[in-house]
Amino acid sequence: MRAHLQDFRRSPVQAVLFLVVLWLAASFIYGPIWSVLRFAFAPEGKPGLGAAAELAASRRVITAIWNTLVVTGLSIITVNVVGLFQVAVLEYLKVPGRGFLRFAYSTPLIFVSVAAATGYGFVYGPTGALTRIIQSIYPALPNDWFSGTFAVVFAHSFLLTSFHFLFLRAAIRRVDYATVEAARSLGASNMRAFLQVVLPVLLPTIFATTLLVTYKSLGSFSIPAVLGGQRFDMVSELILTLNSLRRPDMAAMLSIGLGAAVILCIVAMQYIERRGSFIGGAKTPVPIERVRIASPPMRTLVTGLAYLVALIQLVPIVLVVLFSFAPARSIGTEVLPSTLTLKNYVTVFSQDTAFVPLRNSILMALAAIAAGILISLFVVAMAQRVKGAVSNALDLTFMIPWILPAPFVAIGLILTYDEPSQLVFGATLLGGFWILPIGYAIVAIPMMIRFLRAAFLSLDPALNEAAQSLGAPAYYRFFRVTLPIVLPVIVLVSGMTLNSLMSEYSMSAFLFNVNNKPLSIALFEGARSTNPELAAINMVYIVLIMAFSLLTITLADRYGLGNGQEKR
Amino acid sequence: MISLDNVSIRYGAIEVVKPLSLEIASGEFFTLLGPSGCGKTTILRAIAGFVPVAEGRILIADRDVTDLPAEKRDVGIVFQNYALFPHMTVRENVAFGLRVARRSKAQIAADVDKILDVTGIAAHGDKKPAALSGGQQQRVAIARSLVMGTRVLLFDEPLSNLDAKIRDDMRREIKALQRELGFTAVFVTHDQEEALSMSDRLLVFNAGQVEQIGTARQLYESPATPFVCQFVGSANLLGPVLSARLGVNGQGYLRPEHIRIVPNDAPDALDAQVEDVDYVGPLTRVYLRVAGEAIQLQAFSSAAIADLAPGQSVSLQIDRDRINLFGVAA
Ligand SMILES: Nc1ncnc2c1ncn2[C@@H]1O[C@H](COP(=O)(O)OP(=O)(O)O)[C@@H](O)[C@H]1O
Ligand SMILES: [Mg+2]
Repeated sequence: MRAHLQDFRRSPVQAVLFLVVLWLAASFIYGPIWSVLRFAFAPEGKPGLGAAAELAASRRVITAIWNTLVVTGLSIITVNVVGLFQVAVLEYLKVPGRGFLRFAYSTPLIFVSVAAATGYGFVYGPTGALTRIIQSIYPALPNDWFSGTFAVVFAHSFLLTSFHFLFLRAAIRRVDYATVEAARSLGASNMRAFLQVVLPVLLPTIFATTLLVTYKSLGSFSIPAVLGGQRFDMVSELILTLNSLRRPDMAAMLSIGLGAAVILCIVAMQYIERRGSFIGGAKTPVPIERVRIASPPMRTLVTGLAYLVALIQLVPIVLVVLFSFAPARSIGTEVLPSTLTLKNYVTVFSQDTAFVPLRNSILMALAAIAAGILISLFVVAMAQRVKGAVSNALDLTFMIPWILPAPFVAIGLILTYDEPSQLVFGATLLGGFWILPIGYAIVAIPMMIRFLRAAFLSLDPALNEAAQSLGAPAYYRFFRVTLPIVLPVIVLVSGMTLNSLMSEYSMSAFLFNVNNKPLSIALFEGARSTNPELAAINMVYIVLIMAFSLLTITLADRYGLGNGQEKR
Repeated sequence: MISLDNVSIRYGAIEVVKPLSLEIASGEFFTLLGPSGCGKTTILRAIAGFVPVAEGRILIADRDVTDLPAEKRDVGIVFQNYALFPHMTVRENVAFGLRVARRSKAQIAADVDKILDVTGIAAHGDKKPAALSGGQQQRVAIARSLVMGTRVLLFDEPLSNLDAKIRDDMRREIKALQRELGFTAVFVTHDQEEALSMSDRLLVFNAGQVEQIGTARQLYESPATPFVCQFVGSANLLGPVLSARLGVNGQGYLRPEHIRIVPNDAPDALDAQVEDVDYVGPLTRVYLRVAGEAIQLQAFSSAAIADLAPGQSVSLQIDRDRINLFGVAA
């Protein structure tokens, strides 16, 4: 604290900024957390576990929890089967058309969240192309065959493989092929070499990836909401329902439960990350040599499966892109559009009702990014300048939302700001424009802090000192030396955030209102409606989101920073 | 030009630099020499203003700068990795301090041109630092400080990142620039050869304490402590048998070049066995044993010496007056 006081005496501007950031932390991190705890454990002002008891007594709640656990358990298996198979096909086996397969398998990087859910719904849903094809062969198939646990797990299996694509592939590339050859020369078969030499090296990564899948699946929101059907709930969605049924105590309690499960995952993940880090392998690993499968039937089978998986991942995307150029009337009547037009795009960019969600999402994301970057910069720069407990505490405070699922934060904001609050000088934020961008900023800041912290840490302190010995005062050094050097990281992390906020669903579902309806909600509503005009506009939205993701990922790759997606 | 008056420096409770007093004259090339971790960088950073002193005063050009922040001290520093601003061109790097000082555009351009010329990097003005060689980067780092009219330049092991060959050139280049422009240089290194070859005066530092201050010859020829004797150049610590034979009472150190192989019948000769012979071009090192005690000899390579074989017996002559004697043996 002494160091801080000294710092503030030197620079009163810092002191003022510090107070502002403290106020933000109190209002938008601790305030909401406090509200959740208060409503969960002391709804009427006196402590009690009534909310928990009522949750336990509700059939619907128990079913939702059960659904969540079943979906998660099955997803862990299916995602690993699909993901491991993909990685084996791309990196360990010789399968023709590797470039094409890699492209197909990489699509979960850009086909995410509510956009992907809507795309799947479009293909497999009641009027979907695939449904109609199957029905033409097998008429007894009910319209809503693609729903419930099956639909959600199916979607997860092909949409949550991005972690395998990113991390497991990277891990297998670090395997030193010399060790495989050593095993072979000691008499081990190819298969045995894989199981006993390659697999153990990959195991920590597989565990870590599995935990990421678990984490994603536990909090899965848009996929069950769009694909699950009316009578199917998972926990996130149920929290939203409880909230709209005016049971904040139960919503708060359930979000605490979800939070606890997610935190457990993260703790386990970090433990494994730390333990697995010693498996560095050789300094200069010999790149792994892909194996040609010896038996012809086996080779045919693997190749066939590889292309089937690629097809499953590509078909929804291809159809979405095609139908975004199709007249609305062809949706639900044609398997492939017979005519193509730009009319849907014109509609989105000219018609207010279609454009407003896009504009809202962009505006709110930009506001959240601007605020998030400023706060993160302040927090990270202060932690660098003045080391000590206060800096660490502030840093940790803004990292808290990283371990809290979005519904938890959202419920917290709702419970804190559904009436005039002293924290924000008597304003009622709920129902206004700003509550959603605030929520966006809260969930975006942890990633910003992580990236900026890494950037600041890799900044050579001698640069600052060189500037200082040339006479530059602190603010000059910050703006002329530090900021320009970390600017690429700021641009990158802003792009990634914009990318994920364009299709953000969890926070949006809780906090949107007529003043700020975002793209994700428009997509969701479009997916639920039977109006082909809305479906057509949805296709355009999805294409725009995908194009934007592609752009940011390409830029991120160009910069050589991160893996295109935050490891979260 | 620079004077430290009883300066001590602490990191937390640990006193990394024990009270130290020092006068460095204007235009002098002064070197801090010592093993890694002894506190050289710490002293340098205290002079630059990056590390607060626990006690004592620091004066630069008769101005007490002890409590001044680094940006007000007018002391240039050349970092180990040069710390050139990677996002700026060479010209922008060199102009940095002038911009901070709000000199006029014309003035800045003129000053920068002049210093780039003097330091021989005018041709690279529009390149980014990453496109320069190690030697060129070093010149930019020096120019960046000198352009400010800075009279004191601190160097923290600036040559340790360079290849042996280039390092030699850069040494002479720094030296030449310093002689030409007359700034006061405080140079930190752990390389004794580098230190001896460059400096007007040196300070040998060990474990936070001064061992000796003096010219290169003073340090080499009359070391004040066993540490200096062994760290600057190399020396044989005479064992009990040799000490007794030579009539040395105390801890005697002898440099390898003060031992000679002589014909067997020479008076006063010591019998020795050759253990090993290292031929290193112009010089040859011979590892010997006298009555079981190891001793090392160094001489210009010659057929006579290079042909010695392990196991062979030889006679040695020792320059007794070259033995450095310290205290009484413990
Ligand atoms: N910021 C610091 N905090 C604590 N101890 C330090 C710090 N910097 C250096 N030291 C310690 O001070 C001693 C001297 O360090 P330094 O001046 O860098 O040595 P040299 O430059 O001679 O190698 C070392 O033991 C080092 O571990
Ligand atoms: Mg050092």
